[in-house]
Amino acid sequence: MSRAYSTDRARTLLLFLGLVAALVATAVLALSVGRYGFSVGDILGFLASRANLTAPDPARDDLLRNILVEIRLPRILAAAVIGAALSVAGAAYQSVFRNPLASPGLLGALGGASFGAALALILGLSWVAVQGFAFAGGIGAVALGVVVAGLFGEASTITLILGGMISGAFFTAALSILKYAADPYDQLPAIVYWLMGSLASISLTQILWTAPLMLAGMAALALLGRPLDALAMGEDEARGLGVPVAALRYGAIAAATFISALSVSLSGMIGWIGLFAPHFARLMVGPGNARLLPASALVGAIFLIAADTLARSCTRTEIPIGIITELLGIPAFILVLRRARKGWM
Amino acid sequence: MTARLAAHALVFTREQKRRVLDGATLAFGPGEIVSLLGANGSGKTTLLRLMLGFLRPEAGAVALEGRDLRAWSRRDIAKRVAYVAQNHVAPFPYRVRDVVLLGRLPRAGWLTPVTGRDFESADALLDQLGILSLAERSYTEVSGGERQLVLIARALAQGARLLVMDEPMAGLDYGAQIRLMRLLQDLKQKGLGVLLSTHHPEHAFWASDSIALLEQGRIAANGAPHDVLNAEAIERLYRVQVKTLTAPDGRHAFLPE
Repeated sequence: MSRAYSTDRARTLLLFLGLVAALVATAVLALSVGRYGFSVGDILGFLASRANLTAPDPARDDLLRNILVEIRLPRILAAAVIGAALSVAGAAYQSVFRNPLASPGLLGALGGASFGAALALILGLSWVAVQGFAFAGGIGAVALGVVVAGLFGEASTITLILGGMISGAFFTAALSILKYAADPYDQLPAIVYWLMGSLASISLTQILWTAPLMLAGMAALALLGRPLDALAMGEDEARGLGVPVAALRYGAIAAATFISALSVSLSGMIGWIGLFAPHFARLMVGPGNARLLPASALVGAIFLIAADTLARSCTRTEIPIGIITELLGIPAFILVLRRARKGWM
Repeated sequence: MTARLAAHALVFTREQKRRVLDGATLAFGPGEIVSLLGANGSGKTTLLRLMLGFLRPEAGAVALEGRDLRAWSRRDIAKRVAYVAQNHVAPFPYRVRDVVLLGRLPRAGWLTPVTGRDFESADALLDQLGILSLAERSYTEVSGGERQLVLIARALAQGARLLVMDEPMAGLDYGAQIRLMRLLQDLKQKGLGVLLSTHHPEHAFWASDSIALLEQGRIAANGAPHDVLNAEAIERLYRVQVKTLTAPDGRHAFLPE
């Protein structure tokens, strides 16, 4: 057996075990932190009692159950799934577009989702409808971008980016119209808050419904890891390696758009993570997508759980999580870029 | 001669209605090196891309092993014909070995995990090309000449017997150019076939079994270097005056007047 191979495998295994351990630790910490603080011992005791390893503490079991399972767990699960999905989508976009600056918003998905959400808020629709409109807006904006790209002739990375920019600009303009037309006393603040992102109103049911879809989208992209590597090397490179370029590109864009639109529809706008987490993961496991996509998922999940915990516990009132991801994401991104730069220049 | 890749009377027009190829016919097979010469913009890359099936000709046809290219799946083509791009750059720092491992994609499929044996065969190919020491280096950091070798190693990992190379000498220093031509001749001895485009008449003269001249969308001449490549041909192709020097071993070199 090749020594290089054993070293490579051992290193990768160790990195992934480390990431999983960090994810579990972050989640347990996030469970304990909040307006009502618990010790990590309380959390572990509660988890052990739920697993029937120990007898529940009769005096505090209800309280623990209420706060942990009803309030904090849904947010932590949501943060994990959404952080993972946005990061995987960003990593996939970066490979498809051969561009380290690509992120889930590149083709207009986030702009379209914002417009959809704002429209539903102005129409005074229910929360579920806001999410549905946001999802539809995200998908619709990318679809429009792809159609516009088709007007430029032969579809390529550049025409798709241009199409996405045009579509994104259109939806941003449309969003401005909605903001202008919105009632400044209740609708406008609702739109603005939505745009800043929050995991506060996600229920456990919603997560249990959407998580399988998002995991399926992420798994599909991870399975396309190797052909995505070929595509990241270039279109002709991929063709020369027997990869059907158009089918792979649109398939990957569809899956990445699906999971990012779904994420944003649940949480509102959460920026930066889809750009920054893949770079961080790339520094750890290298650019090969078969490893990069799962690693990005773990990094994104850890990062968003941490950001959401800060969002809900830093100050007396909750800070919108989009602000936190931007504030934390920018310095983290600068640090990562200092090291990643040499890879693509 | 069944394993040949053959283009017949290809016609191709670019978006600006400029007819790039107008009846180009060219073929090569295992055990031979064919050089394609032509001025900038003469359609060399287009011809190569058509022969690889990356583009569809408006008229004419490409056949691989006697069967129309359109009847082949892209993956089956990739098992037989490998493509080495011109001045290739990667946006992400893949390691050299990982680039070579991409060559197993057409045969192993998308989902088969990389095994220790794959590592060994990739390293064996790198060793064969004298660049094993680069295996763990980033593909974005090695020199242009080394990148060409990495791409050739990947092509060999594909198991393809035919190589299509777009200006492999471009950007290489003189030594790397000569070493690359030697390598191509070694590969030819092992039964591989190479079609390359080049701007170096001397290299073409020295290393090729035949030379094809692409002029005004057609292959104006195609044959043994001595028969095809002379001062008049160079003047026609590149619009410069040259004089021919003949080396003692009979090879020709060209000097600008």
